[in-house]
Amino acid sequence: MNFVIEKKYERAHRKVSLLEKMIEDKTRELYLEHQKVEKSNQYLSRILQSMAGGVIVTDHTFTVVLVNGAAAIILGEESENLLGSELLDVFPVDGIAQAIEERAYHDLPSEQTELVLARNPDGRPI
Amino acid sequence: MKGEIFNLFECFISESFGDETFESILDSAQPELSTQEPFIGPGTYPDQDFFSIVKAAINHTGLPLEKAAFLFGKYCFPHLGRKIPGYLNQFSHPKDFLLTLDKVIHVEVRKVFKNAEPPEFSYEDPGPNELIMIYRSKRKLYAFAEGLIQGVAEHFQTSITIQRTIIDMEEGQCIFHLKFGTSNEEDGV
Repeated sequence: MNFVIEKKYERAHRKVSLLEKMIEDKTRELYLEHQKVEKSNQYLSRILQSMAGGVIVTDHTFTVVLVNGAAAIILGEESENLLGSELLDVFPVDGIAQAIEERAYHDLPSEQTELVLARNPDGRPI
Repeated sequence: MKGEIFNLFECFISESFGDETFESILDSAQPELSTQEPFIGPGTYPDQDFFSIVKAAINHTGLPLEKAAFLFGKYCFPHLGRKIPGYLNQFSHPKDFLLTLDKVIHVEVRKVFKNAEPPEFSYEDPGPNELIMIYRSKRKLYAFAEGLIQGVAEHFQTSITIQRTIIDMEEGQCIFHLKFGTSNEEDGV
């Protein structure tokens, strides 16, 4: 019986070592994947910031969460000052108000939460 | 096959026949195993290793293969169910739960266990107290799947009678026609 317990213990001990090794490998994998995502984010951010067209991104409540350099220049404000503002306060044109009203956010398919409101500075659709 | 299943099989044999029996089974299967390390839950191992251990278990215990696979499936369900308690508790009837097996449970299994190859299920719904589950897996573990379904029945305290029809031996396709009885709670059992 002791022999059986010994064998079980030995196997359990070896399992712990294998699991520890697996956690280390997975942690390393996760770190490398994180680096890749970070790089890709930086790349996309550089494209967005260097675009000539103004881009404002809001969340579903139309609170501004991202403003690119061109949009900040068009609006004559620092990007940081625009973050957290209501879209209509930042861009108070009739076209936007109407687009928001017509947006039917709740009618979007469940997997889609983005709505593109491409507008000229005077609010007319592009 | 995932190490989780190997480990559950060890527990099943140890609890049913004792630790000594399992060690003897493992010793006699050892020469046929391509895996020399102990099996760990998230690991993936050759199916053949599992079948070698099962073969040795059948030789040692005298249990017929069909019965052993069924009992093992039934044994597994509560253990696997413990991994998703919040999800399982959302359902009050086994049919509703079983209908999510392919599109929810097995999707999660594939996320958590890399390289996992759970069986595929498609369904037909002939009536409120019936369900047709079409199983497809190259492993052809029909009796194991039937045992798991009986484990589901016990969990929900609802009787399920299962009629099994193998439709494609080559592809490992089988139909389980399930008929649900009333819940044991309703019967006052």
